[in-house]
Amino acid sequence: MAEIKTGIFAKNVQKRINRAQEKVLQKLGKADETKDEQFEQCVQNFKRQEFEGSRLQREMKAYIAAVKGMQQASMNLTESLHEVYEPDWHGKDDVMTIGKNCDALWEDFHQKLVDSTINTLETYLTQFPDLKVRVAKRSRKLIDYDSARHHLETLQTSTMRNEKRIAKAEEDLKKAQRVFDDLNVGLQDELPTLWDSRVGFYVSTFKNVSSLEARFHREISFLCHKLYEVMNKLAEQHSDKMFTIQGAPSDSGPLRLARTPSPPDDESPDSSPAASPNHTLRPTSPGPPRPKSPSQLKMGPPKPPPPKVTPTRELQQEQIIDLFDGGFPEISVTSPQPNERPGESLLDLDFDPFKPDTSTPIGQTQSPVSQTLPWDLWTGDAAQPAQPATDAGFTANWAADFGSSATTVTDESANTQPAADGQGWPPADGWPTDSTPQPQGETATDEDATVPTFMADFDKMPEAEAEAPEGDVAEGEGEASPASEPEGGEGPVTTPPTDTQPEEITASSPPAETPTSTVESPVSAEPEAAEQAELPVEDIEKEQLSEESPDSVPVQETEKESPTEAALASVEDKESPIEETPTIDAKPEEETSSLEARPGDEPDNVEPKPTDEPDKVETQPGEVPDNIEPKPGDAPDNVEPQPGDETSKEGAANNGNEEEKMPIPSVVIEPASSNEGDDDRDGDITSPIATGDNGMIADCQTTKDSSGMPPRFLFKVETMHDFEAANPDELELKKGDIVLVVPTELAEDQDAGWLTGIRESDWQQRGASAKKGLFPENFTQRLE
Amino acid sequence: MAEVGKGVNAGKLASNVQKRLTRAQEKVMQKLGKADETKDTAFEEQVANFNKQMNEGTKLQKDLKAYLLAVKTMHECSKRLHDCLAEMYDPEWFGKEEVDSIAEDTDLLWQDFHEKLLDNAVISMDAYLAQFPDIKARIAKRERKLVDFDSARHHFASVQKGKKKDEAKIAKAEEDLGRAQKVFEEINYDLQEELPTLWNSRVGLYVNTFRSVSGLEETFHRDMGKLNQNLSDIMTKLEEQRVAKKGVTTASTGKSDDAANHNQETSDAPKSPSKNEAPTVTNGSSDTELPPSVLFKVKTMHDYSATDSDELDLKAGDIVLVLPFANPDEADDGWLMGVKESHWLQNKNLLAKGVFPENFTQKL
Repeated sequence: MAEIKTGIFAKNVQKRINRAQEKVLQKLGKADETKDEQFEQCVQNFKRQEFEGSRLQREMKAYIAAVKGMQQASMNLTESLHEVYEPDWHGKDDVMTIGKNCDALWEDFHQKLVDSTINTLETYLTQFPDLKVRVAKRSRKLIDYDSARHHLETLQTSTMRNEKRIAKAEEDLKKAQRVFDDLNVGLQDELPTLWDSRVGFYVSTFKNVSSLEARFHREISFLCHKLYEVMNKLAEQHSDKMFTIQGAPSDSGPLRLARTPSPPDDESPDSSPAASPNHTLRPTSPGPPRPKSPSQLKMGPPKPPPPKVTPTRELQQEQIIDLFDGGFPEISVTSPQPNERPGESLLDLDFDPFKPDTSTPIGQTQSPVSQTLPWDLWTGDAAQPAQPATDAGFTANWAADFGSSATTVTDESANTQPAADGQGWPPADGWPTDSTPQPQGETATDEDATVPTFMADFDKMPEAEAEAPEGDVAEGEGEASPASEPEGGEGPVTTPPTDTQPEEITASSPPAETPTSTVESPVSAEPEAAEQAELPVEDIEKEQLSEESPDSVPVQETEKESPTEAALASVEDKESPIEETPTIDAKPEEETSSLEARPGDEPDNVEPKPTDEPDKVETQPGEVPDNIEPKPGDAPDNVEPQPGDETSKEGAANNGNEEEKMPIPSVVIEPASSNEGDDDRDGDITSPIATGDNGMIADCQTTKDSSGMPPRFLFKVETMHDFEAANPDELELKKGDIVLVVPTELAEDQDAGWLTGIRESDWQQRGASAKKGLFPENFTQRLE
Repeated sequence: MAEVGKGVNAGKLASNVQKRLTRAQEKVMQKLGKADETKDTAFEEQVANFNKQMNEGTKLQKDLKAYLLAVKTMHECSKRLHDCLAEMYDPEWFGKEEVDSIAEDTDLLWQDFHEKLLDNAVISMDAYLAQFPDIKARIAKRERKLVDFDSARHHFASVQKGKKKDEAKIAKAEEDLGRAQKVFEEINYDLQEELPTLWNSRVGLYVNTFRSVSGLEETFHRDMGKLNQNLSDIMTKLEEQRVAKKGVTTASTGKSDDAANHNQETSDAPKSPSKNEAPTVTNGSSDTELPPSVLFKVKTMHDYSATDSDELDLKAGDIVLVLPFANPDEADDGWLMGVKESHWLQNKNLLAKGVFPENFTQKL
């Protein structure tokens, strides 16, 4: 074995000596050299390609290292910002989210860059060493071939021809040629292919790098824009702080709330699908759910297509929303709160004015009645009737008001009864204890039917506001009808005296029953006067009319006094042949009553709303004379049946109730001298009534003042895109319209991105009758 | 003269030494609890805020400078990478001028970004931090004056309570107390005014710094995105050119082989003819399912009706293949160029491409 190794070694040495010899001969020009220009060009390209590949790898590694450094520096900067950021500053969570997303982007970019470029480069470069070795081997084989070729030529040209040696040399030449050709062919195939493949390699490498960078830069750009906006808002918050105490927590609270509602604008299309099932699962219990709400929620407010010219911010926000999808639900949850608070406060404001207004005039009306009682006379009896008088007065006022409305408006009362039954009237329950079973039934029925009506109307007020436009229309009609009916009632009073009689009796009979006990004491003073006076039935009826007229005089307006005088003259001419001289005092009162009806009609026709208030004012003073009328009427009853008086002393309450059953005959026997007494009492009652009227008038003024903005008005918005209403309850908008926003009734609608509002121009023109409807919030921009 | 000069210097030195001794004595007495110490809790809190603010500012500055350095490094590496590409690029290849132009633009973008970052963020940060040393020195001075004031106050108190009532001494002590108090209060008042203002100004600084950085980054990254998009488009077209070029390459290879064979025949003519021929390389191209320039797919989320002739009508649910804009100037923010997948699958052409709003779609 040792010998064999020595042999191989010797052989290699021999080969090297031969090659060196050949090289020297070629250099000296004594031996020609086989050349292949084509192949050398390939080798040249190969070397260049290898160099470029190595350089690219080196640069790419440096580039990726720089990206890594950039990533680290960016993370440090983000962390630094996060540390200095204080919890009460705007956008704390946003900054954290942006920072995390930024870090994730950098990490992702770096990782993908490594995967797609470094690995590819390494694979590409591993081809070169192998090919390099083969190229070197080919060079050596070429030299062997040349050497063998020259050897053969030498033998052939020598003088001593040794055929045997020539044959051997020839054999060696063929062998060398075959080996060389094999290598040469292989390399000639591979090198051009490799050279061409560099194009594909470069294309894929730089394509990957540039596309990765393109996406990375685009996404980072959005994050930076988001951070920029947060900084802007922080600057706004900061500008406020310049003028306030640093540590005041209340200052920063409202600022956050004010900004919270704005993000849901972009969030609305995403939230609409979620809102739809909520609506289906939870129907609104306070009122009947709208039949069209589900379709609206499913559709959601349509997104306005961005105009081509300036969609920059709006569109970028969309991009940012995709990135921060998880962050917005929190904001959506927060946004409803500020809307609910103002709604509640507005509701409180609406209710407060009603209670004191309704109670004040009644109180004023009652006190004069008590004061007019002749305390000097029948002190003991006066004490007892005083309490029932107060209750009776209060109840009488209500009864008279609704008595007239019930009589004149049959349809309305029918609709009202179900509500009345449902509500219940506590005073009615207390009243029966004071009366006998029979009158109890009548009294309870009348009071329940009439008095609760007012409560129903009062309750309708808030409901009307909450209802849809249809509800508003219905309420308007309801208000209009009672206004017109009472006018009709007053009309007959003016023209035919005969026709008026039955209505007067009907209207006055219910209140006459209740205050009977009060009238006992004044009646006792007048019996003698009644007997002495003798008046025709017609005269008595006219006197009743005159009693009503002074009650309504205070309502009259100054501007309408001149037509009153003219009417006075005409009325005198008509009545002069009928009436006697002693009744001259009654004439001016009657004339006054006829004039009142006419001026009352005019304001009613012009403005439905103002009519409601005057009607209430007119009706209440009308109740007072009804209370007074029965007093003189009861007097003769007390005088004639003396045994009746004795009975009443034993059981005053029961006897009083019995007397209530006979109101009609007592009216006929009214004495003439009682007129003076009535006049005095009317005078006393007039001034407090006027005070009540003033209060009511003030209420009217207050109501008018508040009509500058709709009830529970929240804020104004400007329309940015045309919105075409798809449902009757939607509000049609044109770009540029100003809308007054009021609270939305259904939480689902608001969550879905809808607002309820009235167009400003419509409100200014039509007031409360202006159309109120839903519209998508993201089509508008809030004004401050 | 020499004595006079020495005397002045010695006097100052003695005075300073005396001051230090007095302050040290006062400090010791305060520590032992024998002398009450004037405390200002509010001021101490402000000093704490000041220190915190200074630390935060310093850290932020350091991070910002590191960031700037990373940007610079990134710039250099990017530049070399593009130089490498430029040298490799053969003039015959598609888009030689565009690639060079993109390389220059990229270089300019990086340079501009770096310079603006330096101007807006780092320089203002340096100016902001320059305030701190001066105020720090003044706070230290205030503390020394506070000790002097306390010392004078205690001295005055002890003199008053002394058994020997020396009016001259009392008057002098009172005068010293007044002077110390005046000096202290002047410094204290100034600092009381400045510290809160400085504390509040940090908000403004942070807002400006990060708004500048994020604004610059937004612009820079957006432009870089466009440039890289263009480069990607050129690479795509180069790839197309390469596929077409393969036929020419094959023919060239054939000629080369023939030349080689000819050489061998010449050398071996007397003895043996050539037996070898290079095998011909055949390359076939296969059809791809998608157009070569497709960037990504998006799904339509909302119906979109085209308002211009160059826009694409979309229905919710449509899949769109997003294409690069032929001319970068045509690209508007928020709009994409694309063709419906259904149209491509049927017709295999891009004739029906159009622009559409990106926010109506969602990336797949």
